[in-house]
Amino acid sequence: MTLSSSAAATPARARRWRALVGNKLHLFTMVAALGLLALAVFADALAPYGATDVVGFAVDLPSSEFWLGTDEIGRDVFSRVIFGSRISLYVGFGATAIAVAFGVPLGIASGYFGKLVDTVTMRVTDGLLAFPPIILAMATVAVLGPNLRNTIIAIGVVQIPRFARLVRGVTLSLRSSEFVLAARALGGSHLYIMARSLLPNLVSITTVQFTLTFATAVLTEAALSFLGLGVQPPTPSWGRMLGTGKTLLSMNPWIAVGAGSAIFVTVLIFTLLGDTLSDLLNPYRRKR
Amino acid sequence: MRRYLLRRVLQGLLVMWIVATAVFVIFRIVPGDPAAMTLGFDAPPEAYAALRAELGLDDPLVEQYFRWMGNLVRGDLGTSITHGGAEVAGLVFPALGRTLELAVISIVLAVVIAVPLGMVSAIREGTWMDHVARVLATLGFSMPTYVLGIALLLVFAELLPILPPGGYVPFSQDPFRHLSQLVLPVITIGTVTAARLTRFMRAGMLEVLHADYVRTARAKGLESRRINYRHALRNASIPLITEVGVSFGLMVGGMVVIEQIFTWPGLGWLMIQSILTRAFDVVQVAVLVSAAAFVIVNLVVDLAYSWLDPRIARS
Amino acid sequence: MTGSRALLEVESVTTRYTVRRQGGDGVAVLTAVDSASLTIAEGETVGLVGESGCGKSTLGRTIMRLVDPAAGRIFFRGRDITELDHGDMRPVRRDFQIVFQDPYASLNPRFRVRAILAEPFRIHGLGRAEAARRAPELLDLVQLPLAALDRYPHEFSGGQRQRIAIARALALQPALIVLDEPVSALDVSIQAQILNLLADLKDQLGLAYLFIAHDLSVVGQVSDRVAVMYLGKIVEIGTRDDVFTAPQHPYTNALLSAVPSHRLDGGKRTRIVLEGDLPNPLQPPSGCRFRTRCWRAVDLCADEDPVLVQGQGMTQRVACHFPGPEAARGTRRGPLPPNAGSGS
Repeated sequence: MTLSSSAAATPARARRWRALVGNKLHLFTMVAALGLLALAVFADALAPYGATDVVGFAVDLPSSEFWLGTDEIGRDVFSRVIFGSRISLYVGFGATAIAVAFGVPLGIASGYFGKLVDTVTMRVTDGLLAFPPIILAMATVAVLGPNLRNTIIAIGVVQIPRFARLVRGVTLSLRSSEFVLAARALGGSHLYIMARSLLPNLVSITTVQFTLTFATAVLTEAALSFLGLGVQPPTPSWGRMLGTGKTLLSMNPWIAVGAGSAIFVTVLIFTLLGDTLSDLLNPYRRKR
Repeated sequence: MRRYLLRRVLQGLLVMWIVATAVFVIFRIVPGDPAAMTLGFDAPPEAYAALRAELGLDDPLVEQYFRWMGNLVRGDLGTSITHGGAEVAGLVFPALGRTLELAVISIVLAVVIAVPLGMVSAIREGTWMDHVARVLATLGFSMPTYVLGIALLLVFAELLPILPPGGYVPFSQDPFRHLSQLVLPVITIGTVTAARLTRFMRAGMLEVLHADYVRTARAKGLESRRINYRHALRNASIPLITEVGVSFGLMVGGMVVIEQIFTWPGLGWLMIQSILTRAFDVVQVAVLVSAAAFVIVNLVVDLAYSWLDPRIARS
Repeated sequence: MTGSRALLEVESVTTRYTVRRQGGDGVAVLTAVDSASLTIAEGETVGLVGESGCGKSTLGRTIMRLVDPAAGRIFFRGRDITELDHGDMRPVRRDFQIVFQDPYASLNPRFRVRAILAEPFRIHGLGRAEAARRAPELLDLVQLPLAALDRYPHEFSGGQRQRIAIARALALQPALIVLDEPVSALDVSIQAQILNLLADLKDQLGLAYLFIAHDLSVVGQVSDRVAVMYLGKIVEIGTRDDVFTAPQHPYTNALLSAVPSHRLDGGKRTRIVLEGDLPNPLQPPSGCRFRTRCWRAVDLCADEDPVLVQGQGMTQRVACHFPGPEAARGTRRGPLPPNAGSGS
């Protein structure tokens, strides 16, 4: 008995790598995402000035010294745009981590146990999903008080129902599949089945949703900060800068242009990353 | 069908109850209560205690909850202490009306753009027209409304000042000015929404065009224009309607920022102003009303959907 | 019975599902298994046949306690396991295992074979070392190369996957394995290989099987005794030879007549084609459930549900008012009686 009949002689990892390199858009997306991460990590080295240093006159137009000009108190806009990536990614990771940490277990339990657990969870998520996300986040921040930590909590909590829904749906379809029944027949406890049989099969769909939620979180943070309800000054936040830039549009439009482009490019990268990952993680999703 | 209708309405009421409860939880139970919100986070303790007593926040939670729900059921949305005792309903509903005006016109614009674009993209799959449409849709999909809004503001109100930078004048007072103030916000929301809808329209059309019965129709020699319009368009329109509903819901949220940018005094604008002036009694009702609008839109979409495709009601 | 003590005893087990009613609200109760009884002795293979949807898989899953019975008792080695909870069942599960029909669905797609085979040991707290020691042994039993350990299920063919599923079932050295249509998803050439493997394992390890299949010829190859199910009820049960040479229930007759290779009577038997479809299991016919498709049915059949009994001159038990092999029964009865077919 040999394994020669198996269709896939190449290891899965090698095939994924080829799929990644073979598709230019995928490759570009991954490189761009890594670049964005590097920008945040090495902001100190990359930015010409400090994020909160007053280095010039207030509201100056771009020059060779200040590439995007200066803001209302004379800080370098270009440097603040670079440092802004830190806040965006920080909030993105933090909020999405909260959403995953609560949403995934909730979704698995809801789908696995069914009955009352499921009914209650789903009705509550129905209720929470009825709020436009940004409005729920706004209300939460308004009550908790606007700062970085509460912004992360508010955005993360709002996304919990989405993860719970998604994971519940997949769990429902897996729950009665034969490999789960086999684990039950072996005597696996409920916890064992949820953690070992179901969870590994939810990783790819959760990863894809993670990137999309990440994009949403970045957007929501920017919106909240734009409205003055998110990250507070002097922390460099793109949303806040966009808000200031709007009032200074006639004096130095480059503040708004810089911050706006940064938000747009970041969201674009994470949206494309979601597409890329869903292609790469499920190349043999429906083989039969 | 009537049973389905009844069941969906009952479900909608259940969701509304959960929504009202959630608002209660956020504003009464989460640390940082309405009194703190009204007075600011560094108010003197005596003033804080006095306001708590006045607002009934020292009563048992159960009592507060029943008072809140009871008032809602009677349609009593309360008066605002920060707005000099004005009826909250008198503030919220006119604002909701202005938001809906913006939303409805934007949706119409989005559909007018997305349907032809999605159709061309699907029918001419793989051609340069398809590629252009898809790139536009992907870019628009990732474009935050507020970034686009400020960009438009910069170009059309600042660099070539042909449109007002925002504000609101009632239609009855100055129709022309009213309409010119609508242009920028509507284009902003309409195009971003059109990007979403184009993606769905294209996918829906393609699915149908590749389906067996369309191939059969084509094999039978049915003229391809008739296939495109009769079969593909009709079938793609069903998921499109759901997506229009979803977009409408998203809009209510996205509108908050747009209204702020263009100083359009809608529900989102009212909410921000109330948060900034610490008028929690207006905020909680505005939050509730925006969620209710969302639930009602979803209900209407579901019913439209089941009317278009009767199989839904039965499953 | 063959004399050895019963390993598994199933007494009047009934299993119900609630299903959403079509085209409206509310739920309906589907009786998938209706007071089924059977026993399996140590080292014995019992075949369970019937059309798809007759409840044979549900019976297998009820025995495995993957589905809870609504009534009846299940004894394993004399111990009543009907009401043991999830935790109390765990030690019992070491002794009986299940192999499913679809080898594409029964292996966790995210696990390598090594992890799949280690699962039984992990669950029963037997340690990594034991799992690692036994894995090569298990692969050897099912005749797969050692290299298989580091591969994922999707890298194997259907037959190979079924071998892995069998190896997993063997890991804890069970006494009984429920084989739920183990070969029906496989190519015919592969079917024979797996059937041979199962026969070898049985001889080698002294296993008992409950072999569930819709294909009577497959069941005939492996079983010591055979039970025939129709619409949730066991209608005939006896030794393989008795059931195959002298089928008593008309349904068994019909099934056997459709097996081309099975010519126990020298090919004289003509094929009996059953009329009509399987009745809606939500509304089974009154009396005998088979009467709507039965050429022997009379008024009595609609009124009275025949019980499973051992009739005169028979060795097997059968649930029919007019039992007997078709060839021996001479003329067929006329058309269906007037009230047959009218639902309950």
